[in-house]
Amino acid sequence: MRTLVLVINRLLWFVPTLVGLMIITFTISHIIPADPVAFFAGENATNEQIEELRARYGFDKPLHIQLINYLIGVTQGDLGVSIYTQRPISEDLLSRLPATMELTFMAVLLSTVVGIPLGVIAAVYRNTMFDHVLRVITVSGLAIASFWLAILFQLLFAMELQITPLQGRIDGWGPEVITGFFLIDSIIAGDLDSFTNAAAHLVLPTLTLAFPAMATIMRFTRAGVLDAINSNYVLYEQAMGFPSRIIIWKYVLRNALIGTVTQIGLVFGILIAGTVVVEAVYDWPGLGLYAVEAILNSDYNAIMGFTLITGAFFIIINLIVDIIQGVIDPRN
Amino acid sequence: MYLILEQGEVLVTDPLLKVRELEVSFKTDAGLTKVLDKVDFDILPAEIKGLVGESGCGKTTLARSVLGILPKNSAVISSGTILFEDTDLLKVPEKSLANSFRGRTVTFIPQDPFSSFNPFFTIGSQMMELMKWKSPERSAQDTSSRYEASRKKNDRKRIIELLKQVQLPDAEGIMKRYPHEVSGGQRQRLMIAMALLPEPQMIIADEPTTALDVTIQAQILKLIRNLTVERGVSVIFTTHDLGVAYEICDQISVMLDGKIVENSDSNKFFTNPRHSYTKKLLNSLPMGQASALKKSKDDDGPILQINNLSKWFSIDNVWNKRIGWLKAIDDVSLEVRKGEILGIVGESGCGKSTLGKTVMGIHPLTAGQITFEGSEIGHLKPSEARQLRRRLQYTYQDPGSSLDPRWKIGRSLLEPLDIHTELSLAEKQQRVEEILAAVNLPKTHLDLYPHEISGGQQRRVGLARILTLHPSLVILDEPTSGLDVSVQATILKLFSDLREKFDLTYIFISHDLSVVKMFCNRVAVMYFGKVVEVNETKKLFEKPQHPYTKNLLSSIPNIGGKRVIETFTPMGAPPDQVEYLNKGNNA
Amino acid sequence: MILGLIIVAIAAPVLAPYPDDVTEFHPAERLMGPSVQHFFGTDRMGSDIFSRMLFGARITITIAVIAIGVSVLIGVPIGLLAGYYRNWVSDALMRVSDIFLAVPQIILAIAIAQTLGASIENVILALSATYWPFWARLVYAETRSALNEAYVEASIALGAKPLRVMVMHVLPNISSSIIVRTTIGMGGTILTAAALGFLGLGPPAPSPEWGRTIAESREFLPEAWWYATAPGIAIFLVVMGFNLLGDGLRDVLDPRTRRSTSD
Repeated sequence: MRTLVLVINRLLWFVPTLVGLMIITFTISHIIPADPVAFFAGENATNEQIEELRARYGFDKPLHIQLINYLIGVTQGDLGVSIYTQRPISEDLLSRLPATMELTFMAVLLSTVVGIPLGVIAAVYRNTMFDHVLRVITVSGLAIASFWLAILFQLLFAMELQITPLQGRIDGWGPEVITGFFLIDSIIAGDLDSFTNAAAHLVLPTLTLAFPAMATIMRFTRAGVLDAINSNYVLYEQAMGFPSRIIIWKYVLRNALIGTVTQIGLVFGILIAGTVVVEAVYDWPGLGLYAVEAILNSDYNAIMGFTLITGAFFIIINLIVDIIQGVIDPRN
Repeated sequence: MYLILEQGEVLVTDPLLKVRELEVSFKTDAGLTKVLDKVDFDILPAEIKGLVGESGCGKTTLARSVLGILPKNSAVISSGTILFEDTDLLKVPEKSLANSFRGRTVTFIPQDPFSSFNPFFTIGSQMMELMKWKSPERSAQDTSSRYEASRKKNDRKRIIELLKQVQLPDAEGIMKRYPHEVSGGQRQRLMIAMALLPEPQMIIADEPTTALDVTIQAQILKLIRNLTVERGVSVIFTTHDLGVAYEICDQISVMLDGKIVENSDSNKFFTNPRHSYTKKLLNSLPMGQASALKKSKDDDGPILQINNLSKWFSIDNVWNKRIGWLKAIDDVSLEVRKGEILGIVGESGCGKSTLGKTVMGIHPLTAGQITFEGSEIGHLKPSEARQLRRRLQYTYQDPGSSLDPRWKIGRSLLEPLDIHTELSLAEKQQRVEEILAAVNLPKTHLDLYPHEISGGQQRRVGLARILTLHPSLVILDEPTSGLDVSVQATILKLFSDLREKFDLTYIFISHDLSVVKMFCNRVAVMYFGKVVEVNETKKLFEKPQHPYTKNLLSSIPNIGGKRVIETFTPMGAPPDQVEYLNKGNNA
Repeated sequence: MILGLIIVAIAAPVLAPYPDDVTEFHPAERLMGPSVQHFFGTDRMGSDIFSRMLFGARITITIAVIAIGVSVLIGVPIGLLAGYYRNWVSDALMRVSDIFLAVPQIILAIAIAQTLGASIENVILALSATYWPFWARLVYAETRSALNEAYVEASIALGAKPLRVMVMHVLPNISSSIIVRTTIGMGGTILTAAALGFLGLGPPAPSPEWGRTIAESREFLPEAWWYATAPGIAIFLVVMGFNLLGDGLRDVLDPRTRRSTSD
């Protein structure tokens, strides 16, 4: 019941938050005396040409009218037209979404599958050599700049050892697009070569993206497990002679994970931020790269569209986290 | 299939557990601190043995040593043996201790039943987990994680049977609930059931009634005693409360600074103590006669008058819409006379602390009047109330947390003067020093932080802080709870000295009836938000009128008298304090 | 380590072997590997990477200190007031900060920095605008929980006024979390600033900003491996330094809870 209400509350806030987000980005990008049209039209454009372009993209109207027009457009799924690609931004974003999703999903998978058990072990064997080594990894994971790590990986694995592709998502055209996830599409197509090729391209970006997320998950899991280990119910379970493997991997882990789950939102924040730079380095044709291209071309509408989509995605993730938390914590 | 021993048989048996010359230390920053010092301790089969001592004496460490659950990183067992039926537990590998000793031969009842349940699993699933590993049907050598359906069915039956024996209604329903969905008393009953389920030879109960109200305590003690005696199970029962020890134990061992200083039969113990520490403990018990304290003045009329006071807390649903009221205080009228000590007693949740805080204006009142020294203070604006608060003061239940942890004691003592007076710094400091001397604290304490002094000293500081303003009425909220009996006695002495010196009137809020009996002139009994009885202390204790007062009084352990667990009968269901606006809409 | 960094940043003109290389070109010495003359080699313009890195430290420190300083100055009072008073203003303030927090910081910073144009000032502005809600949220939550503490209630019961309670009791008691958050926030800010630089949104060329330097180095890989290595390690060490400092402060600052050896 409480969970349901929480979710409904969150849903009710979903729209105002998005609108607020739009207003903020819109205001920032429009009150600044920069002229994207002039920039796009080029140095040789005549005043008439610029005015015409301005009228075409609606830049000639007063600010609040522009904002309202934009908001109305968004409700109809229209994020405007990119001045650079000349295509509707919603189409651009949609076509690039699967690439980013595939990468993010793999990184989440890797960071949880590796991070949670390592966090548990670090807590159980706290202050041993193993714990100290893991702590060094954790601290580095949070301190390393992901674009630099990406370059190092490229330098080592792709250029020196030549065991992974340098960049891109796949060689050639890839499998027929059904879901947009190359790994899944190639399996559907029964195309083993595409599958291994796509997988090989995924390795470095996934590793780069997952590293800081894994460090975060490990850190929270370790702290959560330590809290649980020092709790009275673990003392009781020990006093009653429960097998220690049951205490740790069933009771302690369950309780520690509730804390970790609440941090998944944070982890996604790290990942989304990571995709921008990681995709830029690996030339991965996803949303992040799109955003970087938009930046380089001063494509305001595209940047706003991207911000909006990531914001919405992020809010939905937090919504899901709330639901999961409500389900696994009986005290709600 | 319980082992029922004839009475004669018990006496000739060898000890079940023999602890010899046990020494345990803890690693601290300052090196090793010895917690147990050459401890010898025996318990016979089917014997209930009290392990009594004040906080920090080592009783919990002894209990945990026997179970083998001392913290691995910090505890060091330097010498000694723990013989259980001639096996030295210290030499048994941890794995087989966990598998075949803990939870099987010896079980455990913890102090805090709430935090000892895992909050994320149902009670039933936690009990089934215990039975999966520790059911009497399962062989101790079996290390597999199989759990056959037939055994599961039998174990379930066993659990439900035992839940009935610990007098829990609706056993099936309780198993489906989560720990936070049952009351404190019920949780402790569940813990008792879990301790009995594996059919152990011995149970270690670590302060199992400390967190409970007296009337519940009486029932729990009765349950533990009856169920273990009829099964012939030995019990090591640690407690700091001599009354509790008297109620339940056959034998008593007294611990002081890591040593056992006296072993004796519980009857002899209370009539004929041998060790000087034991004598001191017994003497500092607030026992016997009703308050001999005179009122400091003759009747001068009321200093505080409470008329029809109510404090209701709004119960909101998840949409923040009010669906009902929790009537924490409901239509209470009370008069406090100048110079007296008025006790307010009741069990947790009865509203006695809320009453104090509402009078202080910490909680705004819902309805009624509060008249203090002739003026109405219940409906004042914060700025007007600030002035009146000088003469009316309140001390917190936990004085440690009511002092800013980042402020030195001296600064905290100056704060009230900074707020209310225009005195120069030198004058303020002089006043603080006078008060500090009055509460018997050295001047050096001014430079310490709250966490650097003991609980008793924190209470003195809390008192000194408000006395700097020369109040006329002080509300003392549970001023002796959590203190060891010996410290308690000196604090009470201090209260009565200060009362004479500063001409104070006290409202003394407490759940401890024996302290109230000794200390207060008049007593008001609160029960679920209402004052059900007010009377002179002596009259109230001799001739209680209200059925709740009678019930409450009959639950207090009375050392030397008839044991409460043999006479006490619990009352029926309490009145409902919650009122919903729309009946039937109480989701 | 952090102290070292600050000294390096201040003393960069003295310490750098080729202080003029920030702006000067030496085409003849392009892309030389590490040597005695050039510890970390030279870049595409033939400038000494070591010297440029020392000057880069100045930029990084300036950005981080000012951006975080502004965020703290905005966020802490907002959080404190919103936490102390329960009314619609405090709700509204928290909602606004929620909106900022709804998007990963770098995304918003990218959007802002992009529209403003690439310069140090704009990076600072972008980071301040996106980071203040962290402090507002933190202080808000800490204030709310401090108000439930008995010592705050006791002070109010003694008759203390709101401002006194906020400044004398609440703020000092939540200061350790603010300081810890600020220290760790420095690390995060440096990473974000470097990422902005890497994406071309930081100070423009020929600025020796670390993120930009790494971006420049990419076209010369794998041959000029030293080009990217040095600034990357610099970022890593500085951020790690701040994170460790934050963890250390967390343990030291609180007089009540000295952490036990178990953690």
